[in-house]
Formats: sequence, structure tokens, C-alpha cells
Amino acid sequence: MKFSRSLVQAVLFGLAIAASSFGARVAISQDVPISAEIPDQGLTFLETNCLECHDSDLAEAGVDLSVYDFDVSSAEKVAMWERVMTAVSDGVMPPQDQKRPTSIQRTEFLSWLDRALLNAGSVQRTGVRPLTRSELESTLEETFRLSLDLSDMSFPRNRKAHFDRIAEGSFVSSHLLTMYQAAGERVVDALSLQREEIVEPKIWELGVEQFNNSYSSITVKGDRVWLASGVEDVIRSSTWPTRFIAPADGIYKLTFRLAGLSDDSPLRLDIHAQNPLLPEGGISTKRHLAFVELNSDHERVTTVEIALQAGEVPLFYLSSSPLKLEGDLFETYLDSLFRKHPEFLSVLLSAEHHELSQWRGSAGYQKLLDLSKLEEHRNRGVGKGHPGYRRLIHWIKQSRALFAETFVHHHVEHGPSLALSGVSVEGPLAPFWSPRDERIEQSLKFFYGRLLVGDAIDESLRLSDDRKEISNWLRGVLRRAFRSYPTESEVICYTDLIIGTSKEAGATIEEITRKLVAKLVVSDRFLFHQHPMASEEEMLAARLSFMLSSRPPSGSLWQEAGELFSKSGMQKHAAELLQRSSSQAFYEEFVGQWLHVSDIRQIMPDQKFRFNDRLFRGIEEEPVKFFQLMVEEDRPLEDFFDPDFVYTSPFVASRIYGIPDVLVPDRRPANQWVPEKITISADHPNRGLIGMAAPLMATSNGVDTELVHRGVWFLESILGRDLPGPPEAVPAITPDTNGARTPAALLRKHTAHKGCVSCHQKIDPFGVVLERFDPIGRVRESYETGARIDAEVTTFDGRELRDVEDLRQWMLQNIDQFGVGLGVRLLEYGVGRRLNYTERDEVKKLVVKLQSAGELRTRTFLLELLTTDTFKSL
Amino acid sequence: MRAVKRRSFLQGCGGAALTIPWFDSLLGAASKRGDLNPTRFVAVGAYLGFHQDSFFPEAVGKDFVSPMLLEPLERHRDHYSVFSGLDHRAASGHHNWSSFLCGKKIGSESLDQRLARHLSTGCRLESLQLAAGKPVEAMSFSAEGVPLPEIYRASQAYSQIFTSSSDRERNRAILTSGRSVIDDVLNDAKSLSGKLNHHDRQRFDQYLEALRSVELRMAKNLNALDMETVEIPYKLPETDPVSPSRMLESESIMYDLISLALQSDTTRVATLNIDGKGPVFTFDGQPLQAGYHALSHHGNDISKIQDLLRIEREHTKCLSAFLDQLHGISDSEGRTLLDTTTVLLGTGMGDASRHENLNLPTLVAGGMVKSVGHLRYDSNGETLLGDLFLSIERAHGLENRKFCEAHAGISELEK
Repeated sequence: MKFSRSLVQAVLFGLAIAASSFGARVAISQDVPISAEIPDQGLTFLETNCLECHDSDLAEAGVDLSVYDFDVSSAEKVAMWERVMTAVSDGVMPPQDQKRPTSIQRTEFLSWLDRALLNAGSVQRTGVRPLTRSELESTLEETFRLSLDLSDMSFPRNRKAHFDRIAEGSFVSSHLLTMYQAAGERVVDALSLQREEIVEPKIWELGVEQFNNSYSSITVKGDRVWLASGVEDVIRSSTWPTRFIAPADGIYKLTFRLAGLSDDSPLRLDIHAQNPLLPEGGISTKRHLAFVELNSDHERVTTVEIALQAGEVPLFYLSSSPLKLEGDLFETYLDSLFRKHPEFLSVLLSAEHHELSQWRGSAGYQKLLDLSKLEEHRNRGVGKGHPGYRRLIHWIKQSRALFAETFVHHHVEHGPSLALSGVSVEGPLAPFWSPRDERIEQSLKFFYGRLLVGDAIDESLRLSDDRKEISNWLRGVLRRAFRSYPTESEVICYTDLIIGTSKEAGATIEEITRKLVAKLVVSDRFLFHQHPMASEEEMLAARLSFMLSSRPPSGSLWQEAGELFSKSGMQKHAAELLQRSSSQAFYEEFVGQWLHVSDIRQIMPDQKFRFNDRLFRGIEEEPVKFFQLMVEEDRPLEDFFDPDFVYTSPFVASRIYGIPDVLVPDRRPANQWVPEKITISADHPNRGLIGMAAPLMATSNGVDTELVHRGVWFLESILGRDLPGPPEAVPAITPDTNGARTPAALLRKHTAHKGCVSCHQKIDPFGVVLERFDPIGRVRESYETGARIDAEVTTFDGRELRDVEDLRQWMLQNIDQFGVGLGVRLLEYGVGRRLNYTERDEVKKLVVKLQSAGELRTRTFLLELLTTDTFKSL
Repeated sequence: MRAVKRRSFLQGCGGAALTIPWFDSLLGAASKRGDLNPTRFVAVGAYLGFHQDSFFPEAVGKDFVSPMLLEPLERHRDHYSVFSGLDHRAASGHHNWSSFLCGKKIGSESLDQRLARHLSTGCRLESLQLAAGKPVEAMSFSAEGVPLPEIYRASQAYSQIFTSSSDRERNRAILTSGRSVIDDVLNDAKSLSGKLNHHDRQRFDQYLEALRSVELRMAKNLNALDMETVEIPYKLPETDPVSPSRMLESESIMYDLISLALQSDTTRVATLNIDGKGPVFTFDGQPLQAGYHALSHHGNDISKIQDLLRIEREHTKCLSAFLDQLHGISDSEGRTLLDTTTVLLGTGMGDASRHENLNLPTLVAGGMVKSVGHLRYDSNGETLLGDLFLSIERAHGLENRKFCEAHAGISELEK
């Protein structure tokens, strides 16, 4: 086949632009439009096989092939040709029901397109983009030498790419600048000594109606608030006054009357500090302040003194309650409850399990009580030996939070429980040492260093007015802020700003800081990553450092940035970065976005899954820890699919993966949450990425699975494919929460629609196979309705998969495909751009090289990727 | 004559006075900006939705008998319409609640933001996003797909709308510093733009535009600090009602603050996100049998539905009181604030008991769209909630042709 020479010339023409004022960098760009004639054979192929649906009128799926030129002058056009390449090589196009090209025609067309695409897109440079939230946070920390937490700030999410740090799809809006300004104000606050106004002590009389009540956490009877639950979730077990918030840091005196109801054991009330503006979370995360013990059936007035910070409230929690849900404690509790009350056991043994909500809360308890008085239950004499006992315990444990809201009422009536009769709060009585003030003073000294004149506590504190000294100090500050050396004119400009502000009558250090921060945070040099004013070395150092630590470069990396252009230098610095604790940010951010794990916090699992904050955390951290282990132990890529372990907490292993005997009975409950390497059987469906809970949960909606979402996840995250978004005009095929419609029926609906078929032919089979996992990642055989899950599918290229295990085996046989997918995602994350055809080809070649050398291992692969032209092109 | 009557401002808990910027009149303030017919939009979203059988009237048209949840709105009968059978065809689950104002694709620019760009020109705040309770899902999304933060602390919302004298100097310092440096930054950045390639130049142009718009907003905020102020006898509670048990109290206060923000022309677009976690509310000294979220999973248990309706009726009572406030304020032309405002009450959750996001209970009040009583649509038909949104946009002068997948609008609402 003959192809036009002009194509090659055209695509190579004009790729380099002069670096002139930006240093010696050789930039590779596609600024100049590129197009060339499509050879006759190519045109014939398009005309015969494609134009019926992809001409300018119909342009199915947004693809218009009524062209004569191979035009790759824009990213969209390149993407279109890449889609053509994928669709034809996957055999998805032309569609099965159309006339198909011969294999020779197909091979020749693909061969031309492959060469044309390789020629069209030599390695690119990355455009400028704003810093992401975590990059902003770390750059501010590095610049101002303090620690910040911006996690509560709402930053734009890059919806056009896999990662937030991809330049395409990032957007500089006024909203973003406002966020940067708000982050800057936090820096100013962190460097401003607060001279808080003196708050006069006062007394609050807080009646029982003023205590928070949620999820049956308390029961109000007369003038008493009863506490009986020992559940970890604060919002389900504890209470706090809703009309008192400490107005200032200080000691507060609490006086309250306590009454206990218990058989014999003493009751213990713990008081913790709670900031009502923060998520309620678990009791173990709250600062402990005091405790009071009370013998059974006693009443007494108690006074305790506690130290509260401004904005906090005291939180009351009955820590001695036997009603706890963690680990085996709940089962122990149920055994004890049913031993004492076999009539409850009898009632619940007769209950219909699907009518769950009738047992919840005070109404549920009342029902339990009423039924238990019936003769048939009162004297039935059932116990642990009943054949339905295990099944009942399993059912109750499945909905433990719900039943805790029922049983708590039993303890309010019969103990152990404890009542508070209102609380009197007096304060602030005396100041207490606040670490915040000291931290600010240290930060101020650390940031301004020798520029600071006077004692921080003294009001005479000021900055030196020596111009040279200020300029020298600013060189360091600006270097850290810009991730690049400042120009002399920049140093002069910022020096003038500081001196000018100092001279303004009465200007304080706070005002100088504010002005400096206000200018820095919105300046282009600070805000843009890969700024054209930075040198080649500076850019590469920033790229590597932001990739492997989400922090700007510092220390030896900064000093020796020139070494990064050699393979050994790059790998040495990368290895050093991976050893630092800051590499945790790489694992968390990369894995979080690569596998969509960062989405799970936005999902509210249905109550039937009885989720709590710790289970969320356990599931969320598993893929991160797993990936980290794969890198640190340099494990072969096959272990992503077929490891003999899971790396998670015993609780998640037991609860989600059903691994037996993993919960150690004598271990402290908190330790059941520490992730560890847990051996897993060689045929366990949950082993490796395919059965990992976090992505399976992220690809569900909290209620049921979303098979299309899971299929897309598999293609994009595991195989590294880029899929176009769904066409807007097509209605969503709503998942059926009752499972009445089978996945096969859904598949047919997709494949029946012409606009859907090309993508869904690829997507849906993987989604169907993954239906074997429920919305939180547990293996299932059937839907809730009892309908069997049928996971047998034929993939777009004709492979027959009967189950998850087949999919896993297929991945193991084609580990190079996963290698390319992972490599593409790692590089995209590192360089901050989508890879083009040529760059993907570089990854492919690397995978082939490593595989043939038997070196396709995670850490080796990662370090090799950093030495590719794709990573180093600036 | 001052068009906004002093007595029209809300009466709060009494006590210390509140200082807000004073405009000669709503109309006067707007006309200073060359805006002769200002209109306003408020969207209220309930996270757990409403019990459908108690929200949708049985009859269609104007002569329906108010179902239980609409009874508190009886006196506004001529000023609202209720819609059944509308939704975005979004998938089920709590997670898709955020489709409420966006349409099926979460992250598309939400209705309030599409309107804000058009309606709030010249106002100090383009829009105000509030929440009663700590919101689980976002309700408003910017054009760039950013979920906009919602303020759930009454005191923070208050200081966002009205700068108290204690904050005034701090804000002035922040704004003055910020503004003076933006000019410098703009000049530095402009000098660079000639040296950029095509892609980077586009990004820099975006950046320069964003800087200019930030500067403009800071200038507006600085001007607002110097405006004439009037004492308003509205007092917030001593502590913010942020604990779950005080969610309904927070809801009522947030409505008050929206009303004040509209009256003072601080903004013309506001949203209120009503949360739905587990507070156990007490009515007449008697706590309900379970928390709000648990009640929403009523499983058709009559007693639970009754308890749930106690809460949901509070939402429509609060809405009714809000409509009263808007109705009680007239300008010199005799038009009430309600005449020039559209208030949308809705949700992204059709049936919380089943986590289904179809057939979303929806109500539209105010004088901008025609009141037609109850309009019922077929859930499998062609009309989408987006069609209603398009009609609202058109009533406010926007000429958008499409809202997500809807493009027809609802002709019955046209005036």
C-alpha cells in the first residue's frame, strides 16, 4: 500500500518551538495544524465500511468520516481517529450485522492508521494547569512553613479526564481563584497571633429538651435524659447540649444530677469534647475530658471541670453499656440478651425477615414487648440450641444499627442505663494553655526567621526594614512558592510590596503577611503548574515531586534536579521520594482516582448494609495499601489479579470477604481495624483488583450495583481505555433495585440502540460478570428477590466468560494489556495530560521489553516509566 | 418614598438590632444598576423528598382538594402549581439526589446557577447556597461542574448576607489588600501572554478573565461596606442550630435569611438544601417513634408514615411562612416580592422508602409563572422535570433551548 510522503512531513513539521526566553527547553507541541491526504485505499475502506453511518449527516456517535484528509490538527480530531483505530481493531466496527471487510482489507487499513497516528503524535508537552487542592495545600505549607488542612474546601473536579491533574479539562474560574484566596486567608490566620477578647464567665442552665436526639441515642422521660447505648457512632449513642457552645477556650464547670439503673455492675459516664461543626464520627476520635462512675440505683449531683476550646461542646457517652456493635461484641451481647429473655428470642424467631423496618426504634421495641407477653412466646423456652438461632443472629447482625435502636429501649426501661437531669454549665472560669497560640508563634518565627524583630508576645513585634535582608529572604520564599527561581524583577516587586506596606501608618505584621499572601496566591507563577517561566530542570523536578509526593520539590531533589535527565539520576530520586512518608499522598491520590475509590465517600450505602465510618475507612484504604505493597515489594503485575492475600483490616476481611477465623477474639476492638496481610484461599472470588470492595462499591449507587458503571470502570481503569461519554439524548437505563430485570435484558436494551451498541458491546459484558459482587463487594449468588445471577457473557472480541474466575484468568493470560493500562494511567497522572497514540505506543514497547526480560514487576515498571520520553517531555 | 416599608422587615426574636445595607427601595437599588424589572429565584430541595400520596392531589387542575402536605399552603392556592410525574429519568439511590437541579447528568450547571448569571447582575452575591442540617449531597453546581458549598451555620449565612460592624473592618482589610494586588498581578500576567503557545494562551486568557471577575466582585463588596445601613430587629439564636435535633429550627431561620437577602437585594438567587439524616424530632413534648431517615423507610407502616408526615408538614409550613413574607413586602408599584419571585420546592428523591428517583414531588410558587393547579404527567411520557425548568428560565427572560434532555418547556405555565 502506498501512502503519501507529505503526511509524514506534515506531521513532523513545526513541532518544535523556540524556547528563547524560557530557557533551553526544547518544547514539542502541536501548535501547527497538521493534515494530509488519506490514501486511496484508506478512502475506499472508509467509504465501503463506515460512511453509511458516519457521514456528515448521520455522524453516529459523533464520528464523521466523510473526509479526504487525515486531519489531526486538534485533540478532538486525534481522539476521533484513535476511536476509529480501537473500534476497527477490536472488531466492533463495522457492526456485526453489516457487511464486513476482509481480513486483509482490515489489516491494511489498520496498518496505515497505526503508522499515520504514530507519525501524527510524537511526544507532547504538557500545558499549564492550576494546582490541584492537594498541590495547593502542600505548596502553601512549603512556602510558609506551616501545616494546613484544606480538605473541606470545594475544588473543581476535572470531569473530562481520569485525574484532577490532567491539563485538558482543568479550568481557571473566578470560583477557583476565590478558593485560592480563601486558602490564602487560612495562611494569614495561621500566622496571626490572636489576641482574643476576654469572655466573662456565665452560667447556662440546659434542660432535657435541649439535648440532641438522633437514631434513638437518648430517651427523654419527664425531666430526665436516658442514655443506654454504647455504640461507637456518636450520633447513635451519645448526646450533647444543642444550645451551648463554648464561647472561648477555658475551663468549664459542669454540674448535673445522675440517676442509674443497673443490676449490679457500676455505670460509667464519659465526657468527650465535640465540635458540632465537624462530622459526628466515632466516640474513639473525640478528645476525652472526664468520667463519672455511679453504682447501680444511686442518684447524686456531680460536678466536673473540663477544658473546652472555643466552639466545642461536652459529649455524654455511657461507655459501660453492653450494647456495642463492633466485632464479636454484638454477638456476645445478643447471646446474653436472649439468655435472659428467651421470650424475645421466641418472637424474633417467628418474625418475617423482610419486614425489617417494623422492628426499628421505640415502636419496634413496643411490638417486641407486646408479642413477648403472649403465651406462645412467654413459655416457649427456646435457647441457643434452637435450629433457627444462627440464622436469626445472622439476620440481626446484618442490620445491627437498626436493632440497636430497638434494644436500647429495653435498657432504658430495665438497665443498665443512666439518666441526666439537665446540666448547668459555668465558664469560662480560667484560661488554659492553648497549643494554638504557641503554634502560631512558632510558625511566625519559622516563616519570617531573622526578619522578625522583637518578641512575638510583645506588641512591638515588627519586621526588619533592611531592603537587602528582605530581598534575600524573599528569594527563598518565592522560590518555594513558584517551584522555580524568581527573576530579579519579581524579587524587587515583592520587596517593594513589603516595604511599602510596612511604611503605611500602623501596618502590622498581619497586614504585611496578608498583602504578601494575597498577591502570591493569585499570581500566575504560583497558581500554574509547568509555568513557561520555569527552567527545564525546575519543571521536571516539580513534575516528579508532585507525582510521587504531591509536594513541591525540596532538598536534594531541588539541588540535583539536573540529574533527572539521566536514567540513573531519575530512578535514584524517584526511589528516594518513594521512601519518604510524603509518598503516601501518591498512593492515596493516584489509587483514589485510578480506581475511582475517592468516589465512595459520596455514596450513602443503604441501611441494609449497616455501614459506619470505620467500615468506610477500612474499605477506602484497602486498595491504597494494596498498591503500596505491590510497589514496595516489587511484586509481579499478575499479583494485581491473583494474590494469595488481601491487605486489609480483619474486620473488612471478615465482614465483606467472609474470610473465616480472621477476627482474633482476644484482640482489642480497635486493632481489628488495622490493615494487615491476610492469607486468602487460591480460589477466593474477592482476591485482587477484580473483587476488591472499594471499586465495587464506587461503581454502585449505595443501593444496588450499576453494571454499566462497573463495565466502564473495568475498561478505563484496568485496561486503560478511554471511552466517550454517554450521548445525552439517550435515556438512562435505570438499575432496578428489585433485580426484576435481568442484566441480560438490560444488555439487549443497549445493543438494540444504534447509538449505544459500539460502546456497550464492550462495556456491558464486564459489568455483567461483576454482577457477582453486591453493592459493597460481597460475593452473591442471587439478587434479593431470589433471581439467580447469570454472569455468562461473550465479550466484544468473542471470548466466552462464565464467571469472575474466567475474567481473572483472562487478565492473567493478557497481563501485558493490564500493564499498558496501568502504565498509561501512571504516566497520565505524572505528566498531567492524556497520552496520545505515540506515547501509548512507548508504554506498550516498555511492557513488551520488561515482559520478555521477566521483569514486569510493579516498582521496576514504575521506575522505568519515569525514564520514558513521554515522562520527560516538557 | 421608600418602597420597602420598615414594617415589612422580619420580626425576629427581638433584642439586639441587626445592621444591613439599606437601599432606597428594592426597585430603586435595582434601577441604579439599570435593571428595571428585577426578578428572583429560590429553590428548596428536601433530601428525603415527600410522601407522594400526601403530596400529590388526587384531582388535576385547579379544583383539587389539598392533600395533607399541601394544607399549610392553602392560603397561597392562587400562587402555586403542583406537578406529578416529572423527573430526570435519573438512576435510583441517594447518590443521584444531586440530579435535582442539574438534570440527569450530575455536575451539569444547576438551574439556580443558570438563572443567577442572568438575574443577579450587579448584586453583591450572585447566589446564596444555604442548608438546614449538614447536607449529604450537593444541590448547586457551577458551570464548571463544581459543587457549590452550602452554608449550614445560620451565623455564617448571616454574616455572608450582612456584614456586622465587628467584621466590617476585617473584611475591609482583606478586600483592600486583595484588590490592590490584583492590578499588579494582572499587569505581570499580561506581559507574559505574548510569549505563550496556543494552549497556554487559552488557559491564561481564562485566568485573566477570572482575575477581572474577582476584582469586580471585591469592588462590589467594598462598596457594600460603605452603603447606608438600617437597623433590623432580627436576632439569631445564641448558638447556631447545627445539631441534628435543631434542623427544623435551622430551616425556619434559613428561610428568614433568604427573605432578608432578597429584600436587601444582596442576591436574587438562593437555594436551601434540607438535610435528612437521623434526628428524632419532638412534637408537643412527645418524641417521634424514630429518626427522620428511619421514618422515611416506613415500609408503608401507617404509624411511621404519620410520624414522617409530621416532619414533612413542617417543611411545607416553613415554605408557607416564607411565601407569607414575600407576599407581605410591596414595592412602590404595588408589586409584592412574591410577584417577582419563583420559588421551587422539590427533591431529587421520588420515594425515599424505595430509594427511587422517579416521579419527584415538585411545587412552583410565585408570580412569574402561571398558576395552573395540579399538572399530572405520565412518568413514562416525554415531559421531563427539565421542561418545567426551561419554562421557569423562560419566565425569567432566559432564552435557553435545552435543559439537559428537555427542550419543549411546559406551555400551560406561560403567561
